[in-house]
Amino acid sequence: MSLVRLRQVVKRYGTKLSVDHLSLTIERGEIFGLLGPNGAGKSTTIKMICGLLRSDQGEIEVDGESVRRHPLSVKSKIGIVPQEIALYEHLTAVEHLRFFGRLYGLRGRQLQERIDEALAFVGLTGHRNDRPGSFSGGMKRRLNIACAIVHQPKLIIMDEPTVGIDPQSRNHILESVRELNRRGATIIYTSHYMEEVEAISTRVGIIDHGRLIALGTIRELLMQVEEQEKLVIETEGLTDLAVEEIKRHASVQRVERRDGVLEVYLRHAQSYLQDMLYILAKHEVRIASLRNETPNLETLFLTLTGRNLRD
Amino acid sequence: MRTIGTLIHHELRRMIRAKETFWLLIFMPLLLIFILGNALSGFFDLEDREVDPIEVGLVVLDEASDDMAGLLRTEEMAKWLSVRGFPDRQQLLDALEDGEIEYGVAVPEHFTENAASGSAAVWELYPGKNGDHNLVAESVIGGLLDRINFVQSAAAALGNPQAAEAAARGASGAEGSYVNVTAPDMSGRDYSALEYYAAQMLVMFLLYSGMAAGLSIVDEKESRTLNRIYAAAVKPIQVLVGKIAGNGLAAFGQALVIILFTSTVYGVDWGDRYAHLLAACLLTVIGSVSLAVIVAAFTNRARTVQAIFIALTMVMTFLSGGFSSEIGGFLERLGTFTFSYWASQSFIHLILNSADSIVQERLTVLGLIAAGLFLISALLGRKAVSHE
Repeated sequence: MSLVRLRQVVKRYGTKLSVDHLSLTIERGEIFGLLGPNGAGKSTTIKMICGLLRSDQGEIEVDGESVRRHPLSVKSKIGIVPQEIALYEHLTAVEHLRFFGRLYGLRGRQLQERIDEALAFVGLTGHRNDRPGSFSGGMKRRLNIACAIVHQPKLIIMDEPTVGIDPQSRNHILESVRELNRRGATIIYTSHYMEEVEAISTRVGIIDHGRLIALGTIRELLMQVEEQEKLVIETEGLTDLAVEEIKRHASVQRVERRDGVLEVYLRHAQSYLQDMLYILAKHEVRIASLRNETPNLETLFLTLTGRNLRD
Repeated sequence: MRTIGTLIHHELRRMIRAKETFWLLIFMPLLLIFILGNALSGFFDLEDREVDPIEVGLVVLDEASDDMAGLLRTEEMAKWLSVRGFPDRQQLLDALEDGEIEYGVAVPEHFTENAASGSAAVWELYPGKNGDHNLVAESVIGGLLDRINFVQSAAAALGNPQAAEAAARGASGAEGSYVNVTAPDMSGRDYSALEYYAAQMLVMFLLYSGMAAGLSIVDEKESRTLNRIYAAAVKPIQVLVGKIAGNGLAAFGQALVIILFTSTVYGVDWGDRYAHLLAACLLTVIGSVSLAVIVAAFTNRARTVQAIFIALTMVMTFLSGGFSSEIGGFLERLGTFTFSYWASQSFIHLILNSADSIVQERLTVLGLIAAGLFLISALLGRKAVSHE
């Protein structure tokens, strides 16, 4: 059953079309990765889902309620972790959670319990009375997350939550995302780091110029570019005969030769690796190095748009 | 209401925890009141000074005016003028030149005839060398001439000199005095420099407190926390009310501290009309906070809000006499178009213990300006707290 549904959503800034007739459904319990380069329309889409921006056209529903018609009810079901660290310098960690918890309608013992849980979840219990000024970048990011989950929302939206932090904090955040999902929350996770999205998402949507250009599980998406798996073999004494024989192999799609380096595009490279090595040995070609390059979301994006994700 | 309460609490905590709050909003006004009040107290030395009767030379060139000229020699006039007669104008002028007399008066030929025919009663006045004495003589003799003109007009209208004289007495009071000594605001009390600057600085720093509302809105935009607030189930109107009420309460607290401190430590007498004092504080706070919201509607940068507000506050305070009570006619008239002027006038007249009608008139104008600013801020409020 779907938790979020977008139908033909359009958003313009002046004459620029930021989101272009976007239709998308996100199921309950998913970790949905929204991938795209900077300026692709990810943040605008997220702001519209949260009710922070009004769409110019189209309909957005969260948990069966229209964002346009019931914005306050929808907002109470969503927790957003903004891309920027949006914290108050004059408030301690616990005061942040108390303030945002109250804005979400929590009071009394329930509020206190939720605060304790949120602080424990992000590992800041020991810093509950400290202000963000004394926090590292990673700790600030974690408090940023705690503010969004204190009311235990059904849908958690994380907009580039790992920008500018150390690998340890990044791992902590990614593990937190998985844990929140295990506890029942549906997650929308945006990033232009495709490794992160690949690592945690159950399904991925790739957005570019405001349009959804690919949608599916990681496996489904990568199948679109599986023919782009390649073996890169650095050789000595490479002969034309050896290259011709490799080209004739049934699994090989394409071969590119640059000096002594051979790039062999083929499906299921690992299965046919022995065959390639046998052919080269037969022609007395020595192998200096060999690596198998499997296609990833970056490859897919490059194939679909002709650009890199980080452009 | 709970959400607004949370936002008000949040604003108050932000104000209290800001390092500059105490220094800017409490310490600075009290320090400035003390410094300005003491440094410029010379300008406010309004003690009464006794003036000895002024030596006035009188020449009557119209025989029919002897009786009228005799009015200068009455017991009432003797408190102010000591009159000595001269046979002609030249001798009078010579005596004035030699310093034998301090002021000269000549009743010209055909004076009575002219006055009776309805022309203005005009005497020739010759000022001496002492400016203060000239001022006193001119005031007293001017008052007498006004009275003569009034009697002549009444006589022409009523056709009976006795009735005209009675009417003149009725118009100028039972005593028929030519000079009525009183303070400008009719209260009979004046203010010290400390009291004047207490009123002026209170208004100036209440305006600064209003600025905090504008800064708070823009700060939330800059730090993206406003987006975060709107991500919760909060409406823009709730944010606006929270900002206005939170900062308004802080400003109100500031006013209370300044009034209590200046009253107990500096001896400023704010009067005993607490409802009026409360109204003056409330209207000033509403006006200043509204002004801040209006400024915040046109910029997303805290520095711009600060620069605009400081410039506005400084100019308005200057024009309303906040730094110096004597700034010249044109600027003074310009000052009457400022919010600060009507706010400070309300407080000053409370200090002066002026009549209720005078205080209420100032409060009404202040209230109208505050209401106007509030209305504009309500119209622009959504734009000010917009996050898109």
